[in-house]
Amino acid sequence: MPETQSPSAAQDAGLQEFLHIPPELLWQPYVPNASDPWDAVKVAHLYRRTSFGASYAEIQAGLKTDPESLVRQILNTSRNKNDDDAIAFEHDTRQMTAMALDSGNSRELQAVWLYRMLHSPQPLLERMTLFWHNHFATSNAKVRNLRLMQRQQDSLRNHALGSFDDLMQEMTFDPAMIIWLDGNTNQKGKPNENYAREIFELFSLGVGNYSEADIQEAARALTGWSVVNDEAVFQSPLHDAGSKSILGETGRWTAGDVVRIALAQPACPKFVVRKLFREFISDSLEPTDEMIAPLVEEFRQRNYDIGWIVGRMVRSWLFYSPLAIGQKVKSPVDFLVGSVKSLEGTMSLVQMAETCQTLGQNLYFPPSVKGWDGGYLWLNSTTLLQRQNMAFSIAGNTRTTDPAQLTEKYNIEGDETTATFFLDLFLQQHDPEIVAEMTRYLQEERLKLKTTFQSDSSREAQLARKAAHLTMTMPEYQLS
Amino acid sequence: MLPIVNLSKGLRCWTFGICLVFAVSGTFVRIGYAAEGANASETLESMVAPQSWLTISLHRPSQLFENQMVQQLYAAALQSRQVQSAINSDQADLYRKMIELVEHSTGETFNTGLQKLTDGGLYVGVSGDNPPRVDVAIGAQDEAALATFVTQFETWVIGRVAPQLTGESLPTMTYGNVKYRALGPARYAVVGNVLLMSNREEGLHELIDRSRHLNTSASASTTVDAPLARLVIAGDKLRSTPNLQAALGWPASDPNLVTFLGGWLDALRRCEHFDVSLHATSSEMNVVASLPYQSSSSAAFQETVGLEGYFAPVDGPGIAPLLIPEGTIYSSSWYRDYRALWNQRADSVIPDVLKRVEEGNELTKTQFSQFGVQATLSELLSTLGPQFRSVVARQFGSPYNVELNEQFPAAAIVIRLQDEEGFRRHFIPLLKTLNLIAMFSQAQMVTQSEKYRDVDLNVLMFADDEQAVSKGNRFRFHFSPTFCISHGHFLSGSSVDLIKRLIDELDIETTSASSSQPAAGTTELQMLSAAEADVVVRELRQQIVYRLLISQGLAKEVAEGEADLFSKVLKSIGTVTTAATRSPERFEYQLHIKHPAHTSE
Repeated sequence: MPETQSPSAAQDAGLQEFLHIPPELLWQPYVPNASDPWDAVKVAHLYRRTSFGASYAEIQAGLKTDPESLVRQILNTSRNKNDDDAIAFEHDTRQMTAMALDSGNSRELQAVWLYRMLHSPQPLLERMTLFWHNHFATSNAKVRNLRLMQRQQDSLRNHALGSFDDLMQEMTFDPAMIIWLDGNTNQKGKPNENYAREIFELFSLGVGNYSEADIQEAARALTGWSVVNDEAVFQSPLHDAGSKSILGETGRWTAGDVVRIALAQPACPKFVVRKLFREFISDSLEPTDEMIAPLVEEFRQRNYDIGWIVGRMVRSWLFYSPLAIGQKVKSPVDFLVGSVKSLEGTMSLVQMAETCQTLGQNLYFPPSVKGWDGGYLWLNSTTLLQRQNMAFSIAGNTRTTDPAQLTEKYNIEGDETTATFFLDLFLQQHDPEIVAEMTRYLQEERLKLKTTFQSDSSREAQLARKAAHLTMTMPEYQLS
Repeated sequence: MLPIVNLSKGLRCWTFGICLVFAVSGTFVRIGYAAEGANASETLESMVAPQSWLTISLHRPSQLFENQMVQQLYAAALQSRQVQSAINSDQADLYRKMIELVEHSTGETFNTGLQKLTDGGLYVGVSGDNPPRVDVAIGAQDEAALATFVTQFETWVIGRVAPQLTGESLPTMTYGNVKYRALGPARYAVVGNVLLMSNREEGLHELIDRSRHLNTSASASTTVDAPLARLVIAGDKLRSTPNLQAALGWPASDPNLVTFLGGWLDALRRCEHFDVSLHATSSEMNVVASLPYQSSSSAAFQETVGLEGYFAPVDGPGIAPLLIPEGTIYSSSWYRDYRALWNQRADSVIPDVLKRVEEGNELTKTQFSQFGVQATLSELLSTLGPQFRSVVARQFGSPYNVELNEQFPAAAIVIRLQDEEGFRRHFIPLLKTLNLIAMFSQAQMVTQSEKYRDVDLNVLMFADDEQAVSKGNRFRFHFSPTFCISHGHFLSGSSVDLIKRLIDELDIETTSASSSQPAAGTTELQMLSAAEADVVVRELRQQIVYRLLISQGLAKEVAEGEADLFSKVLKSIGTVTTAATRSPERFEYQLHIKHPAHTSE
């Protein structure tokens, strides 16, 4: 590809020029070159978007491989249901889930999910499960049944990297979803449009791609389904079996047909691709139809293969460009799980779940059927302060996430080296001015710490914690 | 080298921590000269004791670490991630430094080094006030090691605190022909193999004077019955502690103090001194806290015979024997005569409080009438006791259809009834009303009656149909609250299984001629079986691992390791028993731990 036309050259040319690059080039696999090498920034970026972050060792290991191998490893691991580690992990977490459900405590269930995010050998699967949880946003505040909520999550996980068609079908008949969207009250003669509206507006097509009449007809098609003894049950006397016209198709449609018809619309793959773009590329850049066109058509042709499109996105030039790197605000889950992963530590998962709620992301309890808006809305004066406080707490915790253990493990000595290390670890960049400023700060702190009976190792440990804390409170750290 | 190379560093550090505290205030000492004098009448312990209101004696600190239980506990604790984090933390930095100093100066492992430096005993005496004078004497086994340790410690201290405190060296003074040094307000000297410290100049001088009469062969540590460690506080000094002063007032201004702590406060009020000692052999540990009563007529509370009813009478019927059905983890028996406590209320509390207490008591009649009970609280309590017992034990059956992966232990209380008829009249309707409330609450409980050995059991159970099981949590199915009256006792517990077994125990107790009645004057007994607790821990291992996983975010292997460690710790402990006894001369509390290899059962 001629350099003058390559996305890497256009990075210097600015956004406008970048957007004039033919879309098919944007989605070409990224190939490292002299002006755009494979570096720690890109490795960490890939891990942040596909997992929940990476340790220093993982980043260093990623540098030694190439982008294609790393992406393939991440994708294949997460799609392989026969992986031994995955099977063992699944067995363990099912036991934990059962105990959390037995406790009846939603906080424990949240904690188990966070455990998955921290320790799963298939982190992309957990990333996608969280994504779909936000897409098919269902809140236990109304469902009031943790077992059903967990069953829904299991379904999401089962299809997270599979076919969107299968996922939509599964969710349409999911008991928690039926309760959440008033499916129980959607009956022949008195249809409740809530369910139909959200299937079109939020799950498959988006606003403007259906009419009110389509919603009304779809609501009729969805009648008859309710939840009895925690199972989705079809009761034909409650079903409107008459003819319906939905999105130009007429017939005695049932719930499954509503999904089929929706997925047949050109708007559907576009809608899903945009959502995945927001997840993996940027939550501030609104892609044009032309920009995503190469993905849309192939996504449909591949029967809505989610794994394929995710792979395509995370291999692309666009993914590794300045338009994607550092262009998303970390969600509370990303912030907390990523911090613990980077520090190779542990943290009370119950406390983590509580903190996620405080920061605005209460797992299993999305605020509305639209899910969490995300992006810059994660940050306000309150949540930003709380994130800073959490950074202090995490970086200062000598028992669970001690940064001093990392400097000891990787033989980091000296103020400048310590500063550089933590900037590399958390931000993968070390602007010389920032390094110099942080080094000066550590030197000043070193003088203050020269107390009577403190040992040298204790002093070094405290300085490491200060360096980590300082880095975690930088604005850049809030970005993924 | 002992196999327990790093055994009980924490404990040893605590010992040295005390040393260090006094070192900072009392500085470390240069060797002067060996003790002299024909009149060798002093021991190290007696040297620090005169006029002390607090004395601490550690006769041979390293002996503690020869105890099998301590060895096993420490070895197990060292494997714990949390313990390792604590040992490596900043807070332990100072103690790590002390360990280094001991090892370096003695050229031995920490164990052996500590032995060399302290096996002649460590003694502390505190006297006077504002601020109190603190005298310390430490007897080393090895004079040369002590000298080296002190020198190295001085070097370290000088390196750390100079130039703020001392400049490049510590000032040296002389008393008699003994050289001593100063660090801040404190003074220290080495005399032979003894390290002397005081936070007052005159204190050190007195120690040096007494050291001239030191009889190095007459040590308390050579006495067969000598405790390993002992702490004695003068009663007057204890009673002058601000927090205790208010609580010890008599008559009391707070009826809660009388009700919940009356007997203990009474013992403190009357004691000459508080004496706690630790005895340890290789297989057992015994802690004895003794409060001898004042014999002098000048004591303010000498007139008081003490609060009656809180503890068992010295010469009357005491507590009931412990109930130990199969699978007992914990069992206790204590005495509390609420009727007697109520009857002496006019002597126990001040008039204002008495009025409020009596008015409050009358008010309870109105409140209880809502539940169909026509009695005051005092009347209700007067039907109970004075023997109370409680049991925590494993469960061996469940009344539910729901299958559970494990069984949580159950707990029960067994109360002798002073007035069974009155109890039946007042309490049973109250309990049945509470049952009804539970039934109609969101807990979805049902009440059922059951007969067991001619005893009517009232059992509360959770609904366990499929729907109830799927909707709610399964934890509640470990519980089937039950109450009944049997053999003149009221029994109430968390599971019907345990209540039935306790009925069996009461039956044996009543019919057996050789029931083991506690010794006269025993007012409280407790027993904890760590072995049974370990059985429960192993049954609940999955739950424990799960709790560790979500509460600490540990990886599964690490959490499993911590859970197994907990089991090891329990296995090391064996059986723990406590006993509180009264005699005309003293009140005594004993805690006894027997290593499992030497448990008779």
